[in-house]
Amino acid sequence: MAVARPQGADHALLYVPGRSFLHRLNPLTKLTLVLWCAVAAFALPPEGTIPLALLSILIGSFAGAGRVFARRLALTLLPLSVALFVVHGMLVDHAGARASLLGLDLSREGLAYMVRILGRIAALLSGSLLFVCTTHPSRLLKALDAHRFSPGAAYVIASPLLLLEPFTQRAKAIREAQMARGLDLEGSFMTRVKAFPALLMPLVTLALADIDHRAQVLDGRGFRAMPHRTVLDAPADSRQQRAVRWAVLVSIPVLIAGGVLWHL
Amino acid sequence: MTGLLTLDAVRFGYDPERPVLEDISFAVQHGEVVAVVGRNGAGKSTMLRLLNGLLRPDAGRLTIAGRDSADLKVSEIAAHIGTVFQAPEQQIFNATVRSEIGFGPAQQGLAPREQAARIDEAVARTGLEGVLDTHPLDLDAAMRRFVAVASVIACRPDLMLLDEAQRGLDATRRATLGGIIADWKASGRAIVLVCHDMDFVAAHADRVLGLAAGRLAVDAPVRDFFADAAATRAVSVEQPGIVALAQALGQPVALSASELVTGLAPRLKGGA
Repeated sequence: MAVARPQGADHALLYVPGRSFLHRLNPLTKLTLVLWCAVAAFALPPEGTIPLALLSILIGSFAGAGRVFARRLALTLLPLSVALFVVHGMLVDHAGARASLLGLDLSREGLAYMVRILGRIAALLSGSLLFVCTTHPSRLLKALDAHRFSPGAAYVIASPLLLLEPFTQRAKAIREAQMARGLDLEGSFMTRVKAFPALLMPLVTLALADIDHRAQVLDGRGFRAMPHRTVLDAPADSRQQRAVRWAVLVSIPVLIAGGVLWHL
Repeated sequence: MTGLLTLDAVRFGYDPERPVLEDISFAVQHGEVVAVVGRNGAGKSTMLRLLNGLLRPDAGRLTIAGRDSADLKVSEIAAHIGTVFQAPEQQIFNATVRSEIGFGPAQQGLAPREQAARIDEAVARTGLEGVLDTHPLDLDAAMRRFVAVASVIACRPDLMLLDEAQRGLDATRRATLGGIIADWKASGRAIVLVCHDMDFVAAHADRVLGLAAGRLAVDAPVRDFFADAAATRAVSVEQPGIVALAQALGQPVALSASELVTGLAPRLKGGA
C-alpha cells in the first residue's frame, strides 16, 4: 500500500529550480511576456495560437524545466482535449460535413472548433506554466517592489504563487487528519467521491478564516505603512530587458486592434 | 516483544538515505500511558505518523493488535488507533459538534443507536454537553481540541495518540484532559502522548520514550527517567518543577505535590 511521503518545499511550489536564460530573466519581463501571450491567445487568428503554444513548449524544454513543464501541460491539456473532442466532435450538433474516424461519426466543423479552442487554451496555459516553472514567487515579489509597485498591488499579483505552498501543505495535513480517523481514501471511486466534502470543507473554511488573519498580521507588521518597499537584493535587470518590456507593452494595444479588425 | 502496538527495529526517512528514525523498538501495552519526548526535530511527529499508518517503515516491523501494519489500510488502522492532531481545525468539517463527533462512528458503519450512544459517552467524558449543536469552529481553540478528543473517544480505539494535546489549555481544561487520560487508562486502553511539557508528563505518563537524533535514547518508567539527570539531558528535556523541588529538599523523586508532601511529612512532624 503506497502512502505519500511528505515532500520538500521545492516540490510544493510550481517553481522548478534552474539557471537557464528564462530563470535569469527579470520576473517582470516574463510577466509582461505572459500578458502578451494571454492577449495574443484571443487576438491572434486561431491558426496563430498553435505556433504560439509550440513556441512556449520549445522554449520550456530549453529552459531546464522541460520534463516537469511538459508533464504538467500534458496532464492539464489531455483530459481537456478528450472532453472537447467528445463534446464538439461527437455530441454537439454542428452543421456541415461529417467525418468518420475509427468508426466514429464526427463533425468536421466541431473538430475545427475544438482545435481553435484548444489552441487558445494551450497558448494561455503554456505561457503561464512557463512563467511559474521558471520564476520563484519571492523573486517576483522583489522585482515588483524594486519597480516601485505599491506593497498591496505587489501582494495581489504574487500572492497566488506565495500562498500555493502553505495551501498545499494544509491540504496534505487535512488529508492525513481525515485518514487517521477512518476516512477511506484508498477505496473505490465512489468511496473517494463521498470523502471529498471531508477534505474540501476544512480547506475552504480555513482558507477563508486565513484571509482575515493574514490581513491582520500584515497590517500589524506595517505592511502598507510606506508607499514603497526597499529591496536589498533586487533581481537583475538591464536596459535591453526594459526595452523589450516596453516594446511588448506597446504591441499589446496593436495586437488587440488587429484582433478586432480581423474579427470584423 | 508483544503488545497492543509493537515496533521492531523500525527505520524511516523521508529521504531513504537519511533516516529520521532508526532502530526503534518498543511495545505499548493495554492500560499504559507512554510519553514520547525529545527536542524539536528529534522525530516525535514522524513517530506519531508511523504509529497511525500515515507513514510506513522503510525497514523493521510495526504490528498493531498482532497484525503487521503493512497489511492494513490507514482507515483500518484508525479502528485501533485514534489520533488527536495539534491543529484540530484541520479535521473539523461538520456543521455541529454532534455530527463532528459522530463522523468516526459513522465511518465504522455503526447503527444509528450505537452512534448516538458513542456520541453521548464521548460528550460526557469531555464536558461538551452544552455545545452539541454549536458549529465547532465557533468554539474557542481549547474546546475545539476537546471536540477532536471526543471524536476519537467516540471511535473507541485501543490506543489514542495525543500530539501536544495539553498545549494552550488553562488549568481547568488541563485537569479535564488529565481526567480523560486517567479514564482511558482505567478502561484498559492505551495512550501515547507526544509532549514538551514535562509537568504534564510527570503527572500523567507511566513510561517515557526519549528520542535523540532519531534513535530511542531512553525507554524508562517515568519516575526512573526523571530521577536520572543524564537521561533527561540525553533527550534535552528539563526536569519538572516538582521533581527539581523534591531533589533540592533531599527527597526521592516526587511526581506530584501530594507525593512531595507525603514524603516530607515525617520531617515536618519531627520538626526537622
